[in-house]
Amino acid sequence: MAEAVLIKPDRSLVRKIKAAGGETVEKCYQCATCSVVCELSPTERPFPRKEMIWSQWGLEDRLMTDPDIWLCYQCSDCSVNCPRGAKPGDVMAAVRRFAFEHFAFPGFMGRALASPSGLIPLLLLPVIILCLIVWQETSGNLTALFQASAVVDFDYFLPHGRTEMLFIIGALLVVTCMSISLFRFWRGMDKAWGAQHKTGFIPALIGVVFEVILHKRFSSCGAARYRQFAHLLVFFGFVFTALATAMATFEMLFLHKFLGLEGHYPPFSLLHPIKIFGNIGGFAIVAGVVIMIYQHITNSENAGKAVYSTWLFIWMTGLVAVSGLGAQFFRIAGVAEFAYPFYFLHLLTVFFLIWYAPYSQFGHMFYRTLAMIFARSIGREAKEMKPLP
Amino acid sequence: MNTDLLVIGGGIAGITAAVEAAEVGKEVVLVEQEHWLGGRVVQMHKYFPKLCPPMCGLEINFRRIRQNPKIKVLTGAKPTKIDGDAGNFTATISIEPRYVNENCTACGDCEKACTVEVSDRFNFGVSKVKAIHLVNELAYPYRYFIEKDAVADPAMKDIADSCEYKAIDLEMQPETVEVKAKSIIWATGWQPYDAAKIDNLGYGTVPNVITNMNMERMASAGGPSRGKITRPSDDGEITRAAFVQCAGSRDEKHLPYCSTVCCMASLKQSRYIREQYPDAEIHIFFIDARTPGRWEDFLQEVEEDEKTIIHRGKVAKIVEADGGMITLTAENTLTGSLEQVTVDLAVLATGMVPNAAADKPPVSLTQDEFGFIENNGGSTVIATGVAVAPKDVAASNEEATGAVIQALQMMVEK
Repeated sequence: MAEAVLIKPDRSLVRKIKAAGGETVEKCYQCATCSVVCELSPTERPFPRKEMIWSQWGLEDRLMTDPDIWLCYQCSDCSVNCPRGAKPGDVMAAVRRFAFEHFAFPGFMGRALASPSGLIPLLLLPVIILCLIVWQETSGNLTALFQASAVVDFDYFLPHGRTEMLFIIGALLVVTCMSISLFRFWRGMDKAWGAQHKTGFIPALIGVVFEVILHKRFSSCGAARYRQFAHLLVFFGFVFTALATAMATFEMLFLHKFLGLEGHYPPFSLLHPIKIFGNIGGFAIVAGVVIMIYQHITNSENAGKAVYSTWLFIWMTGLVAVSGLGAQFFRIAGVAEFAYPFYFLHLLTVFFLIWYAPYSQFGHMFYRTLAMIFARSIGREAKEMKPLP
Repeated sequence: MNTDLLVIGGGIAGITAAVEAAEVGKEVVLVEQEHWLGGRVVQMHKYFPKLCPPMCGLEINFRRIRQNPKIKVLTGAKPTKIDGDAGNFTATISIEPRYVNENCTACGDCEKACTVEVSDRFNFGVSKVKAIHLVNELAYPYRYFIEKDAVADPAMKDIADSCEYKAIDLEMQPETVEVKAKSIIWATGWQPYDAAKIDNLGYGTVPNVITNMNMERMASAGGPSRGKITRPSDDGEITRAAFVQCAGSRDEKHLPYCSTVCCMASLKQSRYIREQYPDAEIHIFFIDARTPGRWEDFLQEVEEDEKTIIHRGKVAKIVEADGGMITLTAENTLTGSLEQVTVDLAVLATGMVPNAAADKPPVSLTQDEFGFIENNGGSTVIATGVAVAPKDVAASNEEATGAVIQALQMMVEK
C-alpha cells in the first residue's frame, strides 16, 4: 500500500457534478464492474471506478489532472452494466463538463457557458457586432435589401471582408485562450501521473490523429454503437466545411484581393469545390445532429444524460448547418425575406461556436485530443490483460 | 381436521415452529409442498461456522416429529385457500399423490428395477435420477415417491407390480383436506436466484461455472458426485477455484438486496475445496465481505490461509479459457489494477428469492417489492424464516421459536 494521504472532500464539487448530469454518482459502491466492462480502459489504474470515488469525494485535483476522463467515449457500457444504476458514463461526462469550467481562461467564460443564465449575453455579443456591421453597410436602409427587383447580395449585407476579419481575430483569441488552458491541463497531468514519456509529442499526436480520423475507439462501444456513426457524420461535416472555409479564404484573400484575379469572389457556382465541400459538410452535420437528437430523445438510457450544455452544443451545431444551407437555398431562390435572416443566423451561430469553443462542449476536441496524446506518450493503451501467475 | 397450529412450509423454520408448539402440548399440522421435509437445509453439506453437517440437527428434529403424536405432517401439500382469522382459520390443503402408500418399507427394490429416469430436482437438475426414489438416506417421511411427470410412463406399471409390499399405487388421486386452525405460521422459505439470468457471469453457457447451491450438493456425500468436488465438465481435479460474491445480488437488475448469508457460505465452501485439495488455490472476489457479528472470526481464519487469496472487486466477466479452464476478470480496487484469474471452477454466490414472490400466498399478507412478507401488515398469519427476510439457519430457528410464542398468544381464549 502507498503511504497515507490526507484527503479533503469537497461537497460543493460533488453538488456541481450532480448538477452537470452526474446526479447518480452517490449510488456507486465501488464494485468496479464498470472498469471491467469498459473496452477502452487500460489494465493499470483502469477507469471509471476510480473517477467515481474521486467524484463522490469531490477531489478536484485528481479529476482535473486525469487524462482518463477524456479517454471515455460515453458509450454507456459501464452504465448499462452498473448494478447500482450509478451511471459512471454520465458521471464521466459531468466531470468533463466541469473541466471546461475549471480550465476556462478567462474563468468567467467557463461559467457563462455552463448555465442558461449566460446564454443571453453570449448571444448578444455577436448579435450586436453583426448588427453594427449591417447598420454601417446599409446605412440603416434595410428596406432596400428586400425590394422585389434586388438580387440577394450577402456581400452588401455583411461584407465578406469584415466577417473574415472577425473570424480571424476571433480564432486568434480562441487559440490563445485555449492554449493557456491546455498548457495548464498538460502540466497537471504530467505532475499527477509522474509520467515518463515513452513517445514524443509529435509521434503521439500523429497516432492520435489517425485514431480520431478512423474513429477507432468508438468501435469498441457496445451499448451505444450509433454514436460512432453520428459522431463520424458531424466530425467529417466539420472537416469538410472547414476545408471549404479555408479554400474560400484563400480565394478571397489571396487570389482576389492580393493577386487581384477575377472570378475568385463569392458567390461561387454550386459546382465550385468550395460549394461542393461546404454542402456535403452541411448535410453531414445535419444528418449527424438529427441522429443525436433522436437518440437522446428515444434512447435516453444509453445515449447518456443530456443537460443544458449538451443541448446547447447539439442545437448550435445543427443550427450552423441548417442556417448555412438555408441561406444558400434562399439566396439562389431569390427570397430575400428569408435569405438575409438565415445568413445572419448562420454567421451568428458560426461565431458562437468558434468564439466560445474552449468553454462549450466543442472544447472536447482540444482536451480530448491532448489527453489522448498524453495517454499515448506514456504508453497508456486500452486493456491488454496479463493473467496472474 | 382440527388443530391448534397450522404451519405452512417444512423447512428448518417450519419444522422448528411445529416441534416447539407440539412440545408445549399443542396440536400441529405441518404442510410441505415437496415429498420430503427439510427444505433448503437438507440440501446443505455443512453449516457455518462450525462446519458440522446439518444432518445431525435434522435427524433430531425428525425424531421429535416422529415421536410426537401431536404433529401431523402433510407432504406434497399446499394451501389453496385460507379463510377466517386468528382463533378460527379454515385452510383448504390440496395434496399431490406420492404414488407410494404407507406399506413402503424403503427396501429400494423398486428403485433398482426402475428404468425410467427424470431430472434430479433435489440436485438442481445436474443429473438424472430414477423416477421412483428417496431424496437422501435421511428423507422424512422415509418412504419412496414417484415424480409426477413419470407416472404415465408404461414402464412404471411393471415396477408397481413388482413391489412385494403392494406399496406402489399409480392410481393414487390428489386429495383435498380442510384444516381448522387457531393460528397459522407461514414459513415458505426461499429458492436460489436463477444464475442464468446474470448474462456476464456465464452460468449455463461457460462450463465449470456453478452456483453456491450446486456446490453444496456437489460436496454432500449424498449428492450426485458422492461428495467429490470436481470440474463438472470432465470430473477433473481442482487446482484453483474462485468464488464470485454478489452474483446477481445488490444489483438492481437482479436482486437489489443483500442476502446476508452468501459471504459466509463462500468462506465455508472455500474450506470444502481446501479439505479435498490441500494444494488448491482459492480466490474469493468480494465487493465487501459481509460477515455479521462474531462470524468475522471465520473470515479471519480464512484470510490466514496462505492458499486463499481475497480480492476486493466484483467479477464482471467470466469467459472460457483453454483446457476447460475459465477466466474471471475484476478490478482489484485496493491496488487499482485489473486482474484476471484462470480457474478450474467458479462458484457464483447467488442470493435468496422468497418462494412467496412467484407463488403468492392464498391469504392476505403484506409483501414487500421483492416478495418478502411483512409481519406488521395487519394479517394475523405469522410469517417467519426466510419468507420474511434473508437469514441463516440459526436466525431462522430463533425467529420460528418467536413465531410460536405469537401463535400461542392467539390461541388463548379472551
